Amino acid sequence: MIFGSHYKLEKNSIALVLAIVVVSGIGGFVEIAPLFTIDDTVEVAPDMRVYTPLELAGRNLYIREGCYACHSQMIRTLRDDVDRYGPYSLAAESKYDHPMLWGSKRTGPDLARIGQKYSDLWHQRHLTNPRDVVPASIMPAYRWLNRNPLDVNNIGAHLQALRKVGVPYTDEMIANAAADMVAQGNPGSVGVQGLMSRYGDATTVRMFDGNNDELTEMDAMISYLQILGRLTDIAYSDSSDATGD
Amino acid sequence: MSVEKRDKYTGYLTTGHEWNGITELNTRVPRFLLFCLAVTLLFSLGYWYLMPAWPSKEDYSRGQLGVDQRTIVEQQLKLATAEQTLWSIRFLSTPINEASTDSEFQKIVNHSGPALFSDNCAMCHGQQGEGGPGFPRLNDDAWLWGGSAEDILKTLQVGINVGGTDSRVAQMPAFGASELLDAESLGNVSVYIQSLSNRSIGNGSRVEELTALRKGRSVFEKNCAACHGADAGGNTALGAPNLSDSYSIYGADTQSIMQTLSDGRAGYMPAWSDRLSDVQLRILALYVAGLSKQ
Repeated sequence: MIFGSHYKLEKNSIALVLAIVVVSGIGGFVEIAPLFTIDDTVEVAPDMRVYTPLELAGRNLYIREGCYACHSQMIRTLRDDVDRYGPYSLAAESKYDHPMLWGSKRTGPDLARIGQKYSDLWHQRHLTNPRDVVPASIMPAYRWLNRNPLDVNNIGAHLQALRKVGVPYTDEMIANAAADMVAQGNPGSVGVQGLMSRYGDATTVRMFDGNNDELTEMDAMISYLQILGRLTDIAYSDSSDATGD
Repeated sequence: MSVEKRDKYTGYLTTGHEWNGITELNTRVPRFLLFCLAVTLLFSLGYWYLMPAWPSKEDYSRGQLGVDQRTIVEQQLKLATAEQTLWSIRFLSTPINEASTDSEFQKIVNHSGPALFSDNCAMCHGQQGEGGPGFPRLNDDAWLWGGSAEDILKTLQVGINVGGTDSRVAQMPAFGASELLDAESLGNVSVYIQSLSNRSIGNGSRVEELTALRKGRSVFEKNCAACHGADAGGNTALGAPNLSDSYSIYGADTQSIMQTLSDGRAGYMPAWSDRLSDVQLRILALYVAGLSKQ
């Protein structure tokens, strides 16, 4: 009987170790095996674009400030979610998210499709003091984003690191990362043309925080929030195209 | 699993482990737990069989029931649209200004309007449409682009200053920053603008104030009247606000007015036609038009 063999197993340490390896191996296999088929099971989004350096910096700030603790970035396949937030999220939409920020709990609303829903001014006021625009909000204020100058020096290294895990940043993008970051927050500046040629004409170039001074963390954060759900239109295409192969 | 030695007090077999005379009983795993284990095992086998479970090379096991959450939600949405067609065909074909007097449509607007408004509009315009600094108030009679349901629908569809060819475009020039007017003129015209909604300005006999007012009026006529109108009543075709009423988007104190004059303004309203359906847009337009009539 099975319990009898366990009695023997307990007394044989090598056999016990091997048995443990086998049992946890089953768990590992179940979790890891689907990853080998990921190229075949995840949708293909040909129009998917990468985060620009400024958006990526905003994403890093989003992680630093712990926004994901209260805001999810995944619209579930439930009618209520779809009615309120828009088409449900597809795996391809977070293809270049390392780490992904789907989140598991909502204290605030889902942000997967917040991009372009509100104006930059609204985001700036809301992050500075949420109560100014939404009186009932319980979100903390993030005033320092207005004051902190944005660190432009190591962004190239961030791009390089992401390239290691499969985000298709080119050498040119990595070499010009800092300049592209500054250009995106300064419409009319000399670097804008280069930025557009590298990241596409749909790239938004604005004074995200409403002023033309030095880039602040607010610029980066708003540029990131305004691109959420806008990297690809795949979720808006016909649903039959959006599944598999 | 046990040594053949029975505990003399309880009658159970022991494991053979003994610590200072205390022996460990080898009691059975309760039958109920084994039963639960068996049931959950059977359940999981059944679940694998019926529901999507195992990944394969290019697909996954679909399960006998063929349950697919995406299909379910798409069917629910289709069903909801189908239910809507009972009234949405007539709703969409009725001119929107007529729809506002139709009691059936009014019921729909009263039912769906508040939820749509608070999900999409209240963030900037306030839960009751009360607005805030930089975000226009919607529950009054002052409108930038017109307050009829038709005008509001257009604004919702195309947005304001969003770029692209359809968008409504309005920009208050930066008279100060681009050196169109000098500081003195700016000061004078700000006094004049304030006098439009505050009758106490210019009523007294203070000479400087009267002079500023007179000069400000002439600056206004040359620079501002083209958009805001000679009587400063605004122009909804250009999105130029009425300056003679008591409401202002960016503030009516001297500092706010000077900032507006100096740096210009260009409010941004997103376009909603990609995000909301035609039915939703029309419901919202009627709802917002109704806010100012309450």
